Amino acid sequence: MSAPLLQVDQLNVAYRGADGLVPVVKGVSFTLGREKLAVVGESGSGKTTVGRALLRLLPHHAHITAQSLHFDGIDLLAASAQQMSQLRGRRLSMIMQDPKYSLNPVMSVGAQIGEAVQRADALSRTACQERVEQLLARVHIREPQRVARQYPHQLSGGMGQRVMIAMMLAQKPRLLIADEPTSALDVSVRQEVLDLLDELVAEQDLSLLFITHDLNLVGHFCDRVLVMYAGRVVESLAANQLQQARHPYTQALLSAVPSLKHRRASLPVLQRDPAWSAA
Amino acid sequence: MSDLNPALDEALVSVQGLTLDLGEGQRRRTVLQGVDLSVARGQAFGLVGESGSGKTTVLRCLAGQYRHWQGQVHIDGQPLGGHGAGKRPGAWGASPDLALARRVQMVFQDPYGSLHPRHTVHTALAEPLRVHRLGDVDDRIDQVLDQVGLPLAFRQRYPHQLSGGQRQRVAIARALILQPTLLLLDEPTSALDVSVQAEVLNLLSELRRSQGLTYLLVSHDLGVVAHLCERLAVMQHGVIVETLSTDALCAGDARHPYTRTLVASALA
Repeated sequence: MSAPLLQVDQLNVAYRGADGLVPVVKGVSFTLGREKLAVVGESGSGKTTVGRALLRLLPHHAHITAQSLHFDGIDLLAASAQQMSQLRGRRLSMIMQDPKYSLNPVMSVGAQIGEAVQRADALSRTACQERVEQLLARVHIREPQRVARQYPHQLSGGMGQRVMIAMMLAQKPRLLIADEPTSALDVSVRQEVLDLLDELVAEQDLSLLFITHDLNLVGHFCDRVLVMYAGRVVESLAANQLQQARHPYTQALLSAVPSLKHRRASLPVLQRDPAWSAA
Repeated sequence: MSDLNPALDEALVSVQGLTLDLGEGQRRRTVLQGVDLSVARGQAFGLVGESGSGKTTVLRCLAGQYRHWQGQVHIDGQPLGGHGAGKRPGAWGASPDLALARRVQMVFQDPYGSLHPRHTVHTALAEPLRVHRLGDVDDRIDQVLDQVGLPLAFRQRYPHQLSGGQRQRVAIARALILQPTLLLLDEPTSALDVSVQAEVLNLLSELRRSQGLTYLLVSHDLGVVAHLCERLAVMQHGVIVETLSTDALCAGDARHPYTRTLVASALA
């Protein structure tokens, strides 16, 4: 069996504070092959920090250690700043939660995607423009020529997220880290963006690390789920086994969601057990 | 859950033909087109729809944030001044804004944005009392903190010293401190984690029972609406496409295709 695309072994992240190091990610280990892996947890569980640590996009006072942090044979911890910027966007891509804040508000959508295209290969202006329109069409935007001339504030949330995905596709990434890519979107649009991601994963030989707080969503969308609590992975299971989750935290998260199927007078409230955050 | 029928009970909120245009000249757009709804006293009524469907705009009209709407809105039997407000003196007394605010309070989506970062919980809660010239400030604040389940010592905290759920409790306390009859809830839990959402939803149902409140809840989450409300209306493009009871919704009796789509994605 070949080595997995991404290997994370005993990843620790701590922030240097006034009183020494404050740990936020504690001994997280997982591997990622060609699959859709979800990292699920509440705010503050460290899920976003894991995603950012992989891209080394954490602030300077973050202290990252790991037994091993390898992507496609490259040691991410030992990589130089130059090597990292070669990786970022090219082979390791990230899309963020809210396209409103991730896109440049004073640049047209076409120009922003064009930057990513030019980074991949130097093209003439007309060739670049064509490529931009192809990419917009690829993410199912109906009038790519018109949308390319528009500015981010003229786009809906769903369109904005498609533009982000188109930008990511300008390169040929192997791994996409998607941090809450659909939580700023409406329910109906959410499904369209998920379908698009699904399609791309299947077509482009792409692995996906999907960071979200929405357990129900990953049950349908991902292959495997890591549940994080207080900086640790408390449970790792196949997505279709989610309803049989063993860990009380996972069970509590699942049952806290108001559902149309099981209506209850009051919702069960999570009773946090200190043992969950112990080793 | 009993399905309160607003035709039988007294309607606390009655909205008929609510129409609102926003923008000027060529950019003028109709955002609400003849919205009709009726909420019985003590009922929780949900408004569901996508962003841009106009659901929050309905709340803003009821809260008095928009004045240039057309149609008829009655709260507690009294007409709310819309288009041409001021021509009906006396409906809400000498200062209609204050009188309306005493009865109708709103809780906003984002507890991070809706609390002043440099005001303590005490200052945030004392402000409506000062505006309405109410006394017993300390007692009232203690009482309302207790109602929303926050320790009394939280009074001196600033918003950044509170978690998201605690902030939303403060926002609910600020709405409750004037003892309103109607709470307008605009996506009160969508910025919260599911575990915290469960706590806030439980608090809201508990408060409705104990304080005899009436809710008008806006949410994109059908699960949240079904949990809290007895009736709901589904909005699309500024129009209510369907109004039905939650029981009917859960029994699969939704007729409009858009409602069915929402139900399907909620059950997926």
